[in-house]
Amino acid sequence: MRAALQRLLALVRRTRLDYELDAEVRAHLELAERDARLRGLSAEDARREARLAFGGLDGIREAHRDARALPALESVVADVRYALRGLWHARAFTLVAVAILAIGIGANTAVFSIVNAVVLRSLPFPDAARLVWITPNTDDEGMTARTYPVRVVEEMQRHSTSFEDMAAYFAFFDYASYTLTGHGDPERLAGVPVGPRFFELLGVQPLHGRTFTAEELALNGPPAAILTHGLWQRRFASDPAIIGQAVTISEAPFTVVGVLPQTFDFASVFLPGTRVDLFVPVPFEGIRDFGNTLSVVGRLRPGVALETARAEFTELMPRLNAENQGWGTRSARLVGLDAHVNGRVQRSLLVLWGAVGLVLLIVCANLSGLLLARTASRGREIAVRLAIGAGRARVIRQLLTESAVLSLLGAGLGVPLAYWLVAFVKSSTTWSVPLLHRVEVDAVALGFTAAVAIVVSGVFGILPATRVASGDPQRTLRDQARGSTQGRGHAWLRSGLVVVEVALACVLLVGAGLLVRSFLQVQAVDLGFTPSHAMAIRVNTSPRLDADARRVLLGEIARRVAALPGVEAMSLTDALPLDRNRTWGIDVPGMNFPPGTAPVPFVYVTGPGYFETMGIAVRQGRDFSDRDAPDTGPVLIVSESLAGRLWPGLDPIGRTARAGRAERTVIGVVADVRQASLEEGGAHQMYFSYAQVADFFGMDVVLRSSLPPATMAPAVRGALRMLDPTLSATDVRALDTFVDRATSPRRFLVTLLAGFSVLALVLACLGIYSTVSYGVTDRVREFGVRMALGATANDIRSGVLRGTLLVVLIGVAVGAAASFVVTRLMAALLFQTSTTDVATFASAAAVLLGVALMAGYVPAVRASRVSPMEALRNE
Amino acid sequence: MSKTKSDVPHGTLELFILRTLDTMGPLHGYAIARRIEQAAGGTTRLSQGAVYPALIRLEQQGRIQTTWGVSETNRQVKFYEITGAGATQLRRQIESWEQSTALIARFLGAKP
Repeated sequence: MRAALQRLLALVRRTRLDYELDAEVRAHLELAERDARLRGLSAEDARREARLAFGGLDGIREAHRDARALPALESVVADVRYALRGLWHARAFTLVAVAILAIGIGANTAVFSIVNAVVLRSLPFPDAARLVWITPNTDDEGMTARTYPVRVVEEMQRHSTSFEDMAAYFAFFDYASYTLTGHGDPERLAGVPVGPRFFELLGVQPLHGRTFTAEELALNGPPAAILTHGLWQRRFASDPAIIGQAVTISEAPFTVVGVLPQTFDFASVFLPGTRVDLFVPVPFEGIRDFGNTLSVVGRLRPGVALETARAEFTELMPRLNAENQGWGTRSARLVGLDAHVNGRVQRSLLVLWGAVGLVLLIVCANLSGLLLARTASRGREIAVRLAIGAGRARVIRQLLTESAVLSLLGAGLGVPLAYWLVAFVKSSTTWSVPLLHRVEVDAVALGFTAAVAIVVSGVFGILPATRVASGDPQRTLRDQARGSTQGRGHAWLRSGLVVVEVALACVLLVGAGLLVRSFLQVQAVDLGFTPSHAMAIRVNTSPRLDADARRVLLGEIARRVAALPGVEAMSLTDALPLDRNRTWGIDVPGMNFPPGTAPVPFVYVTGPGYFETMGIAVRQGRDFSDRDAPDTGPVLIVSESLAGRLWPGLDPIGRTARAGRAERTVIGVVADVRQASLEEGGAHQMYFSYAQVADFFGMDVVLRSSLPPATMAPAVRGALRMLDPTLSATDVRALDTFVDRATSPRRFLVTLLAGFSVLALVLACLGIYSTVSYGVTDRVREFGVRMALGATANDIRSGVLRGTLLVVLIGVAVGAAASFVVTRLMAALLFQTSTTDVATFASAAAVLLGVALMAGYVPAVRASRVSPMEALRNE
Repeated sequence: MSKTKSDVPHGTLELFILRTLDTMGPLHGYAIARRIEQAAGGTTRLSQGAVYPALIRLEQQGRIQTTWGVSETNRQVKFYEITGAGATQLRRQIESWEQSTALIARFLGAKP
């Protein structure tokens, strides 16, 4: 221990100890000389004998240093110092190398941070691995199809042995309205009604207060609310005294019983891209007669595997169906909650991760090439060092130290870049990516960065290092002295690196190309409605109004809004495409579908003028009108595809169907719209008049205007306030934003991947340029000789270009072949685009060849301008 | 490593130095080297310079300490002096040497 410390100190005191040793040696030699003189030797002989007896001075000095210091550490310090000095001398090279590394490492750190937060880390709940998402087993995208009625949840809970407990929340909460008044401006809040033991099941402890009691969860129990951390901060100034106080929500007093911790972000887990403000109890007794309304989460008993639970449910559900006649055919698909939450983005993120890894490989290949060129130009220096006895291992270590120093510098700059990238991704609220709020460049990510930097330095450093050190110093010295062309092996190696770079860039370009094409296809999808210049403004009528009063009020709202200047068309609707949705059954007399295949259309309760406002084409019949009233015959409008299913080949107008608890006459057929997503076509829709169906909560005023929403919203609000001061109209949404939100995960992926492939292209371009450029410098003498022998500038230029093109063509071929395999992994992410889309492959190849020609042209021209006289005189 | 080949077994040079300093008091490097040379009587092929790495090692281990003094030729030189720890170490090493030489002698002498 003490010796080790002394040795470390010695490292610092190195020069002083050297000096002291020199003094001692001088004194020693003097003494020895004196003794020899006393024995009668001549001055010269005495000196020689003294030196002889002393032994090799350098060896002693070296042994002295070895003895007093940590030799390895000392030489590492020396290597680092040497590397820094070398890099400082080659500033341009260093700048380029560090910049490339920073980009590569920074991008990797950022993407790792995202992947780690969203996919790798477990959900922010205790023992999250035991949480299971339970849904009916259906491919139907409608919300209703993915929920259960109370009774099924209770039966599953009662009979399952795999689950410790199950809890549920009311999935259609965005139909309900919660308007907060009394604390500043009225605000529409997003409130989620939750069933018994919901927070307990997830393992969420309130920050203040408590969760709901059984009394509050009973029918007509005392109204209570639990606030999210965000709402508590925003509206109640983070005041813990709010617990136990009453706040006015939708004109009723609710007691605040709890505040949730910041770490619990319900929306980012269950409904990414939305906001949730508060939770209220949902009394199961109150919704017992409703249809499918509950989203269910279960917690497995400790030690029970998901597979065991699945096996239990495949046996349990048919038994429950048999025991409970009249609830239909129920099924259950059990998915780990984590898989449910990140399932939709997992593949995208893994593709991103792969892509950014490819970028890093290109960075490595690039640096390998740059370093190879650099070490080759230092070949003479290294050969001299080898010739005068430096060990090969020592030289390799020194070169690797240089790579490591470069890599660490790159990582140092890459980390701020990663912070910036992560901040950019987080700042955009339109990405509906789950758990985005917890993405952070944290210690784990920094550890990852460090590991990447070390591995990367090894990867790009080892090739040049071994290459140089394995060379024959004598031959190198001879070659260099003659100024002849480098060995063939060297050129092949550099070309090989370019092939690798081009191939990797090709894979990225093809991948990004396919996704961009898919994105364009999605954008080009016929939505069935026209989102631009349309907006929706949520109006919440007082819950105390009865159905008749509400209908009259809505009619008045429509009349006043329609009269506003700038409104081209307007209507009312309770649901909008690409927004919230629900489904109801529909029966046609005489039409029997096999179980599970009956159409379950999406439901819209609208006012007259909806189709005109939305730009939905009316194919047959008519729209609702003011003549459709509670006391006139019930009417229904269906979508084309629904009409095709219910009355194939027949004219649907005038036919009757049972839907919305009444026999209704079909008065119109309208175009299909995309409801759940842009990609999913063929869904069925049916439309009711709000004058004839009272089963809706909250309405959106939809209007079409060339004026921006920011201008229209105050006008609408003003008109409503004149009508009824308690009406809140806070949410103003342009319909374009619905489309943006629906495409956001795709846009997220496309944006980042396209960015990475542009990066790859730039890096490949740089790699080609530096390699060709170096090759030209290397062959200046050859060009000079050839030109002296009669070659024209054109010959030289096209020769160089041909060489470049050949290498790039090989790279493209390899890359295309690799893409062929790799893109299959992302088939699920593509939309109406084949994984072997010829146009995409062709354009990727064309872009790469174009870039390669550009990158190779400049050095080629330089080659052709070689003056034979100068090149030969340069000897 | 060092190119100064010494035929003395590893670790014995340190033992020689400690023994020299123990019996003769503070000495400078040259005197130590000369003393060892004389004691060995030309049986070892040890260059005088080899004492310096050994000296710095011993100093770092705390077995000896140095003071600056003036040589016979009027130069600033380091004088080395054995420390308490060095004396203890020396005794221990002598013991272990004696034990092992006795063992070897007995083993080699005990021919059947």
